[in-house]
Amino acid sequence: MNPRTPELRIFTPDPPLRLVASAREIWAFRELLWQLATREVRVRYKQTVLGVAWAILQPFSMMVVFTIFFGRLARLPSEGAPYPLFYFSVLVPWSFFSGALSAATNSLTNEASLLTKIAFPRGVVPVASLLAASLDFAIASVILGGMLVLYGIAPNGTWTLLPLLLVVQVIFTLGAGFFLSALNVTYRDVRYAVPLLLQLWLYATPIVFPFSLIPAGLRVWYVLINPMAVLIDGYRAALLHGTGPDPALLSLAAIVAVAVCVGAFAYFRRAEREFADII
Amino acid sequence: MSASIRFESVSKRYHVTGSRYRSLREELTRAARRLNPFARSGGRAPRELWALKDVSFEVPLGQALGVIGPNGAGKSTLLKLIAGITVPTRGRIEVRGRVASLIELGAGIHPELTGRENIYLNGTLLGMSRSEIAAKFERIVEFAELGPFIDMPVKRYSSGMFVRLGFAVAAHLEPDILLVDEVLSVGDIAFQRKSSERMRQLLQGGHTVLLVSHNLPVIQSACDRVLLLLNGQMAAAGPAEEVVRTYVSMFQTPGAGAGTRPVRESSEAEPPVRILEVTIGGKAYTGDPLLVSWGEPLTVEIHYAARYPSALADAYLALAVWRGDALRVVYETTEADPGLLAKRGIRGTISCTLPAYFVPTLYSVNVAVHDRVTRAPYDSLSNILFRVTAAGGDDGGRAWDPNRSVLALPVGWNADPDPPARVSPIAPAPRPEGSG
Repeated sequence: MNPRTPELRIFTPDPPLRLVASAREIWAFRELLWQLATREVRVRYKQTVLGVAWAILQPFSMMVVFTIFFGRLARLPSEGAPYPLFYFSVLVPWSFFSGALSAATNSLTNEASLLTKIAFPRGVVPVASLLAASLDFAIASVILGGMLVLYGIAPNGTWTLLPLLLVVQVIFTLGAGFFLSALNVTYRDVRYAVPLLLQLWLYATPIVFPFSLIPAGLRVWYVLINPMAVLIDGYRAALLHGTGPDPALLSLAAIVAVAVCVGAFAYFRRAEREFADII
Repeated sequence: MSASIRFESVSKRYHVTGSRYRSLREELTRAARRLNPFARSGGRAPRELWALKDVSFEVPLGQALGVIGPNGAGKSTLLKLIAGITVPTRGRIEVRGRVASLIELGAGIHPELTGRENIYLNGTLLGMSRSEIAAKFERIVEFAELGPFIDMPVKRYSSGMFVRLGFAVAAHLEPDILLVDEVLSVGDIAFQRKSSERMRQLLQGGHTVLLVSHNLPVIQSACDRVLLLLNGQMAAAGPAEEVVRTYVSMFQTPGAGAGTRPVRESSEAEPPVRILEVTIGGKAYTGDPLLVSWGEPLTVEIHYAARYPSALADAYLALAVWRGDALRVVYETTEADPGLLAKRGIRGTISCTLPAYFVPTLYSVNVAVHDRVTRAPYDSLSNILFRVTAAGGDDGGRAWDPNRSVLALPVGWNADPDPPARVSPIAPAPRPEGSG
């Protein structure tokens, strides 16, 4: 009657973590991933006047404020780059990070009705919110490209580094997203803590100031605690100066990002058993 | 043949706390209290609720298992465990194959999206691939009767359309295992018929089915075996009829123990009037349903005794016949004849005869004696089961079905030899060949 052998699933109180298998399962549900992400995008700008303009409004307005106050008035060093570009080049990837992370944090609790009613790999939910956030990033990147042309900056070889930086950033964001979304299911404090955290994190990352201000001896520790620092510095260095980030520091950030992602996913897997019960 | 679903001593515990989620502050104060040796231990301990306790069963491939029990017995938890929505606290569950659940229809339907977008979203949520949905899309839209509304946001849908959309998507999954909760009571009558038809198709398609319902005739007709849950525990499991009977007997007297013993409820230890015994056709009820042939007179004899003669003048008898699934079919009283009970002195027997024109299935007799003034029952005896059997073992091809009707009256179908001279303005329907 049915030629395929039905897959056997076993549910026990303490299922093995099987990180690789469950990551594959998320991949197997990529169509759902896409559906959830497009749904979020479709719904997000419905009944808004500015629509998709909101995608760039945040980094753009921050650039304006930073340029006026940190640049023109406070005269913070910009390594010779024009202030708007100095800020916008890093505010675009940073907005992606902060937007994706806050969306991911609330993603599971926003989908409470799905979690209690339908069985599907829970990891899909935070990943989908990251995917949805990447649309804003793509739009903002186009604006950034336009600004680079406007300021007469030509592409150079170090731009090939940009995808690598982005991959590390995505891995790190994903890890943080897995952790915070799962934590938010248990402790709703997280949703209030994350905006504060992201605000502090913005100033603890070389966005308003250049990475070169950090004393050389402290950089390893700095990156270990905040891998976003070297990524942000990398974007700016590659885009504006044709130099890359310190390869050793970038490798360190990559290792931290992968470790965070794996550890967070393990936590997520452990926590997801209870999602439907406590959400 | 391997089992599609296997439960091995499965238990599920929920924590019932004041708030549904924990707050960090609460957790920190609890941690601080743990560190403090002088603190009162315990604090606000969350209450535990065992939704399921030590449940074991197996559903072989292609079998239909019915799950019955009162609300809160753990039926929904059982389905959620099979679907993989939640994990057991103890024990082990094996599920073989793709599971489709008609449990929570419309979960994941987003009001801002159009019907089309929602079909894709809901379909992928339930585990269908895009191409699979595309292939079934037309059928789903047709089934849901959405037609021109398909590209309209779902928030503009009527609740009926919303429900139809949810059911249509779920019903077009091709699962190995189908989980059904009582969802078929949704939508209008026409859609209900359509959805039960679809269910029947799935049932006959050789799928493994787990059906949760309060509709016992449906359970009995659709399921091979039935599991009865009470307070999270398995109270009975076995052939559908047997378990339903066990349940039916509990149905009418909540809190009564298992078994099909008659249940007595008295207003006080020595009520003014007592029902001594109830017999059917002169036969005493011993725990097995008494057999009554369809159409035969069903005579219920009620033997009663009063504590004092005047008590009978103030009392009347009530007789009810219930169908297995708590549907009251007959309710008759002696209220209209005040002197009836008092006629024969302090003890007596009153019999009530009615023709057993019921659709053959299981019924129960409840008898009560009431105070004429307050209408409160002095004493009652319920759970006297009888089964109506088709006369001579068959129903003459009439295919009576408790799902369709309650009464089976002796009706006559005739083909008139001469049509009336003046016919109605409706075009004459083709007349069947002479039947008798």
